[in-house]
Parts: sequence; C-alpha cells; structure tokens
Amino acid sequence: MDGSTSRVFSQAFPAWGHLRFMRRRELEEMGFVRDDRLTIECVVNVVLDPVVTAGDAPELDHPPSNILGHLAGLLGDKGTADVTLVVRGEEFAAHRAVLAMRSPVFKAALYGPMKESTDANAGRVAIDGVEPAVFRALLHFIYTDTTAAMDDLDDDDDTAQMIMHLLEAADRYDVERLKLICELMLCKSIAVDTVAATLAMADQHHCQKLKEACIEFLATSKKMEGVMESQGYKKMKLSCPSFMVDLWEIIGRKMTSYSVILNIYARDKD
Amino acid sequence: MSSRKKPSRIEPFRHKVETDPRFFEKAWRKLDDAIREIYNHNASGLSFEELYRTAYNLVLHKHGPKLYDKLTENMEDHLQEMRVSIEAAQGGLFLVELQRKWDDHNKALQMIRDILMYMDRVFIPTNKKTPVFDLGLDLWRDTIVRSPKIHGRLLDTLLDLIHRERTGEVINRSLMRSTTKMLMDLGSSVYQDDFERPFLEVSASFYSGESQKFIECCSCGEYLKKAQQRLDEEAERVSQYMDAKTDEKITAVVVKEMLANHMQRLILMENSGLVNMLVEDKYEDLTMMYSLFQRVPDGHSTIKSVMNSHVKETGKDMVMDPERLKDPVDFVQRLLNEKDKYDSIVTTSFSNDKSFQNALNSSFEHFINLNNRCPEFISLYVDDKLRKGMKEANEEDVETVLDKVMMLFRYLQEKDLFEKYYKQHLAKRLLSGKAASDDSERSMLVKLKTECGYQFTSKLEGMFNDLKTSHDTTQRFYAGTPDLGDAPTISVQILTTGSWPTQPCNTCNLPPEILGVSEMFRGFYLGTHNGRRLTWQTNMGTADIKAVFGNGSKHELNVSTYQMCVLMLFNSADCLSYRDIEQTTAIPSADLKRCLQSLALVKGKNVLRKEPMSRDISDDDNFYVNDKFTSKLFKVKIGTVATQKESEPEKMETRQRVEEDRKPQIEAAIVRIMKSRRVLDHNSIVTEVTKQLQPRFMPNPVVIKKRVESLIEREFLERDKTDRKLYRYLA
Repeated sequence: MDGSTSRVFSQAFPAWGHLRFMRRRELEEMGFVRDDRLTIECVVNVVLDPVVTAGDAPELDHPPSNILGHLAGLLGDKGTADVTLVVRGEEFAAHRAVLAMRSPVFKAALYGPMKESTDANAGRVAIDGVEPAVFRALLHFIYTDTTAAMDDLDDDDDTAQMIMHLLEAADRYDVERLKLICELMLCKSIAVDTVAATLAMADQHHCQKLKEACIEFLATSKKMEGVMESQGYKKMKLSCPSFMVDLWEIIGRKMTSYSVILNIYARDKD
Repeated sequence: MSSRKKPSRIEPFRHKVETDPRFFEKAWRKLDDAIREIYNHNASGLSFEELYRTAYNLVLHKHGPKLYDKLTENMEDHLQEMRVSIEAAQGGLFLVELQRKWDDHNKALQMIRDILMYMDRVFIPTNKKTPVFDLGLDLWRDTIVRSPKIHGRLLDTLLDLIHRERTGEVINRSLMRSTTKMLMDLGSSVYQDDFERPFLEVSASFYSGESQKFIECCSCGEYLKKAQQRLDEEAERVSQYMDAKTDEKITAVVVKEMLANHMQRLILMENSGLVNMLVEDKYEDLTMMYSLFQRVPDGHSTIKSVMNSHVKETGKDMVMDPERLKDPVDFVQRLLNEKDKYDSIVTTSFSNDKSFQNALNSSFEHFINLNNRCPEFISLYVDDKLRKGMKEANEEDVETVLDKVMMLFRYLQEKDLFEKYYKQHLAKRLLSGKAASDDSERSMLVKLKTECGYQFTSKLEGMFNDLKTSHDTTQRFYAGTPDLGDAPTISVQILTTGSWPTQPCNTCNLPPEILGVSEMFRGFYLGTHNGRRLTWQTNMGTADIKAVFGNGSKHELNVSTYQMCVLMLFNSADCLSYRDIEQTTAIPSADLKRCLQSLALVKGKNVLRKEPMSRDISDDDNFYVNDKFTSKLFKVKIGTVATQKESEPEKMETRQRVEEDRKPQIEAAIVRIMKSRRVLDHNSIVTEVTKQLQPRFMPNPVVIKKRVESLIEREFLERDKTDRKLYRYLA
C-alpha cells in the first residue's frame, strides 16, 4: 500500500488510481480493517491562484491643497494688480486674468478689442449700476469662492438686501455659483411680506429654483391675504401685470380648492 | 465681537421698473451706433461695459424680442452693404474681396456676441431662438453666399480655379483654403450643397473625358501610372484646401471614372494587359494594377479570373505538348519553373495575397491533372535528382529542389499512382547502387510521410531497412563461413517481398561457379531464419567480370546477371548460336534478345560479335567473342538496352494495377462510412467516399457504384425495400 507517494491533480491529470483492486481477503488478513472499518488517511494540499492584496503604502503625508489661500491672498494686492475698477468713486485693484477666469463678461470686457482692454485711461474701468459694498462682496467671491464678506453685516434686513443685490450682480456678470448660492439663501428666508418682491426678482433674473420655492410658498400658505397686503405685491401689480396673470395660472393649478381662488379673486377686485 | 458699522449702508433692493417710454429707442440707438463703429473698424474707442450694460438692461426690462429683431435687421443692412461691394469686385479680386469682408464680418460678429452676451444666455434658450453668433453666420450665408449674383459666381470661380490647376496652372491655394473654410464654418450642409456636390459632379465629367482620351492612346501600364498620378494629385489637393471628408469622395469619383468604368478593357488589353504583364514578368506594372484595382469593386476577382484562365491555358499547352513529353525530366523542370515564376509574381506584386495564391494553386491542380502521366514524370524527375553524379553537389540545393517538387506533388490527384512509380524507381536506384546520398533519400521520404502519412512511406522505408540488413547478413556470412576457396565474391541483397515492387521472377540457369556459392548462402540464411523462402531475382543483379580478349586487352566488365550468364558460356565455347544460348541459360526470349543486343550491337560496348551483322536477332544467329574489342577505360559498363520511361504496354500494366489496388480501398471506405452511418443514400455515399480518399486519388463515381453493388452481392450492404436509392449496412 502506498503510504508516502504524493500525486499531483491538475487539468492534465484529474484522476489517479490503480488498475487492480485489492482482494478483500488480503485487506482483512493484513489487519487494516478494524471494527468493520477501514480508515484511509489522505493529506490534501490545495494550491490556489496567488491572491494579490494591496499593501498599505507607507504613510505619505500629502500636504493639503493651498491654492485657494494663495488666490485669496491676491485680493486687493496692489503690487500685482493690473486693472483698477472704479465703482461710484470707490476703487478696487484687481487682476485681469483672475476676473476673466471667473466671469465671461469680465473676460470679454478686459480682453476684447474695446476700450477696457487697452491701457488707455491708465487701466481704469468704470463700473456703473452696482453699489461698492456689493461689488466688494462680488470681488471677494471671485477671489475666495466664499461669501464670508457678508458676515460683516450685523443687520438681518441688510443681509437680505445684500443677498438680493449680490444675486443681481452675479447674474449680470455671469458668476453662476454665486448666483445659485444667493438663490438658495433666499429660498430659506421667504416670508409673507417679502415673497412678492422675491418672486418678482426671481422672475426678472431668471432664478428658477427661487421662483418655484416662492410659488410653492404661496400655494401652500394660508396667508394669501397677508401677501396681498404687502407693498411688494402692490408694486408688482403695477409694474408687470402680465406676470401676475402667469402667476395666478400657476398657483391655480396647485390649489386644491376652487373656492379659495374665487375668494382671492373677489378680494382682488377691490 | 465688535459690530462695525459699514461706512455706507446698502440701498434697499428695488425691483427694476422702467418708466421712460423712449427707453428702448435710446438704448437701441446706442447699440446701433456702436455696431456701426464696429463694422467700420473703430471698436477700440467703445466701452464694453457700457454697451453690455445697455443690452443687459433692455433684456431685464423684457425687451428681448424687440432687441433680437432689431439686431437681425441691423446686421442684414450691414451685410447688404458688403454684398454690393463684393458684387462690384472684378475678376480675380472677387475672391479676395469676399475673403476680406468675411474676415470683417467675423470679427464684428464676435464683438456683437460679447456685447449681447446676456441676451444670448437668458433670452435665447427660453425662446428657442438662434444664438447671436449662429444668427450672424446664417445671415451671411443667406445675404451673401446664397445671393443670386454671388452664389453662382462663387461656385464658378472655385471650380474654374480647380480646373486650371488640373490642367497644370498654379493657383492661389491659400485663397482657396480660406474660401472653403468659410463654407465649412457656415455649416457642413452649406459646404456640401454649395461646393462639394457640384465639385464632385464636375470632377466626374472631367475624369470621364480624361480617361477616354488616355485609354485610346496609352498602354495599360502607362494608363495605370497616369491614374495613380491623378489619384495622388487629388488627395494632395484635398489636403491643401478642402475639408478632409472630401478626400474619400473624390477618390471614389476618380476610381470610378478612370478605373472601374474601363476595368475590363484595361485588364484585357492586347499586348499590354494583364496577360502580357504576367508573361513578361512586369513586376512594376503588376504591382500598380494590384494596388489600384483593390479599390474597384470586383477588381481583384477579375484579375484573379483572368490570371486563372491564362495559367490554365498555358499550363494545358505545356502539359499536352507531345514534344515535351519526350523528356520527362525537362517536362517537370518546366513545371517547376512555371511555379517559381508565378510564386515570385504573387510575392513581389500581389503582396503575398492568400486568395491569389489559392487561385494559382487551383489552376495548377487543374492542368497538372490533365495529363495522367504527370505522377510518373514527377517521380522520374526526383529519380534523376537523387541519382549519382548530378550537378547540384550541394545538399541544400537538393533540399530546395525536393521541397519545390513536393509542391507539385500536392497538386496530383492520383497520388497512389505516384507512389507506385516512386517505389519502382527507388528500387532501381537502390539495387543498382545509384542513390547518390542516403540523407537526400531519407529527406524525401520524410517529406512524403509528412504529406501523406505513415502508410505511404512504410514500404519505402522497408526497402532501406532491407539493404542495411542485407549488408550485415552478407558480412556475417563471410565471417561465419570459413572455406570458400576460389568462389567468386557475392554481395547479397535480401528483399522483403511486400516492400519491393513485384517483378515476375523468370527462369535463369546460373553458371556453376555462382551457383555453388549462392547455394551456400541460401543454406546459411535459412539456417538462421526460420520459415522463410529465398528466390533469386536474376533479372535484377549485376556482375563484375574480368575479361581477357584475344587482342590482349584486359578489361573489367560490369554487366547484368543475364549478361553474365551469357558471357560465362563463352568460357567453354567459342561460338554459340542463339538457340544454344537460350537453351542453356533458360532466360526468357524477350530479355535474352535485349541482353544480346546490348552485348553485341552497341557501339563501343560490343564485347561479342554477331553473325550475320544484322540489327535484329534471329534464332540462327551465331555469337563469338569479339577479340578486337577495345576501350579506353579499363572498367567498362555494359548496360542493358532499356528505356527509363515505360513502354506502352508497361504503362498500361501499371495503370491497371493501380486501378486494381483502388478497388479494395474504395470498398474499405464504403464499409467504414456505412458502419458509422447505418443508412445512407447513394449520392451521399459518393460524396463521403470521395472526401475520404481524396488525399490519395479521385475515385470514379462509376467505380464506386460498382463496388457498392459488389458489396451488396457479398451481403455487406442491402438496398432499402421502399427507396431504391437508400442503402443499409448489414452487420
């Protein structure tokens, strides 16, 4: 009996055996059968495919990114600035490339063939229709990608106004992320007395999310009367009546009870 | 924590309302003036900020639609002005002016787009209008390019310039490039409709004319060269001043007009077409034809079929020419040369194209099998190469030649016929000691074995083995038998009957000296090998005889066994008649006559003299030793008058034997097939049998049918009771 031969089972040789069986008598005579049992011991080694595991790389401390810090450092750096933006008398030093990078409108202005791109006028560009504080906040966002400048304002009302102005500026200069951030902030602070004005602004400046949020607010709130009392609402009626029609249509679809519309319509006639 | 009060408070946000009724007018006037300045190249004095803000305010106050319409109108006006100026340009300046105005418009358009960026971003998507820049391009397209006066003129100018360049003039390519680029910028449909399509049409008629002109006066090779030239030219033209996508379209046009339309005429052209190129090995022309006709649908298949029929025809002439058949070795050499020729054509000119190689192979196979003597001739060719004293002393050369012969061998359909001849020739070589190199012989066997399998060569190998064993046996005989005295030395070759070609054994009385020692050998052999039978093959042996002639000349004669028997008789007699010789030697008359002819009637080898000196041998002729025999050489070889090639009756006999051998093979194949399939119809049996036996020979369907019937008789198969065409296997 083979006790020590080892065999290899592989695809080429899937089976091993002997040609002839042993006689039972021999088996019994040799004493291998005990208690009516025959024990066969085999040692099986299984060879698996090698398993590759990713080892832990030694601790390499990648220093965290610091480009934003450097970029922020450029804000207001007169030494490297190559353009001066004049906003209602207040001057802001800035860098053409950075402005162009963040706003296509600035890019067209500062790198186009018109006056702003030449050095005529000593690199000064007049900006009209924006308040300096707002412009400062816009510049701050351009250089730092954050709206931290507004934390300076200690008045909630001021903050709300600032956000609206900033949204307008962002829309004008096509700084998309800033516009969306302002939108979201306004969405969170819709109130009965401001919803009308907010809605008008959202429509004028094409802020889809804000518009929907306002409409949602109007449709579900039970304070329609309060809204209609507000100044903002009255002003809107005067300035863009066509918008009012659209608005009521949209609200109408959302309202569940017809009687409420009638109610409001009746009141409106006054 | 300090709450710092801002120096300036923020103004409350106000919803913008514009109350000025003339707001739009004022704003628009500003923009209108600015655009005019822009078109007048005065942009640097304008303030972008201001203009952008103006447009921004307009859109904010819902004046988007009006602004858009005004803009459209405004641009149209400017473009109309430009159009007038372009139309006024004379002659060559037309394109220049067009280009200049296009540049101006482009630059202006970019600035306008920038100014109106807010409208582009906000108003246009929601109202599904064309963006400003695209609007500018569309207006240019409609006002200028497609204006009645300019449209036709532009196309005509472009096509005229191209035509001039085709006829050899040099034109302003950069102007062409910028003009076609303008068309491409306006949209691929503009480029295609307003330029590309007419260009392709005009080119088609141009090349149609060209090809007509050339084909009348050029040979095929010249024409192909010109076609290639034009193709290269057009490709270069496209890369220089057209859109890359035009390349394959114009190539298709040229190929169609110059090649596809004239394909048959070119390939079949007398004295310069494909056939002529093949015959004269015009590699360059062939390469050009191959690469050019690759682009033509059916180009290659036409070339292949013309080549095929040519090869088959010349091959057939070669193979059936009665003159050629007289020299088998030369015949085969010519076949090899032909194969070499076409192989090099396929390698050099057809870039080793497999399908061409296959076409050649089938043509060769076709014509080689037209002559049923090819198996024999090929075997004779090999025989010639393997014999002693050939010119290629180099082993490698022999190898190459044998490999080439194997290629011809593969084409044979009757490989079993070849086998028979090869065996005969090999036997002759081995027994007469004429095999030049044992290595070459074995190498040939290996090649045959690789090609046809073990069975083909097993008997041939047996022949080699026999010789080796015989050599050993003879040595043992001489070592083991002490006392042989004056007996002539014999060298015995023992041939196993199955392996060697069967020869009918004829009677022959050996001279006593020989008989003695040969019988001793027989005794020795049978003593060591039980149950075997030895028969002397007297028609195959040779003998070396020392002869002293009456004139004193001594020679050693190398003769056949029969000749030896005859000559030895003259030791005891001076004159012998034919009848005497026949009686004593008991050699069959046909062989004896041939034997005597070679001894007496061959000039330079006439060791016997015959009276009368006639050419034929009759019964009453007398033979004497020729005492006047002389030869420059000491050793004289006297061969038997026999042809290498088979005579007609021998040929018939060999063929018959081969046919006989085929019958059992066919039957074995039928039985094998039926045993596994059980039931099969007649046609399928024929197909299967042919498929199985093809490596050896092509069985004749009539013969197959006969064998089937014979098997039915012997109750191996039976016919199906209902369907007469079906056969059933009987276990």
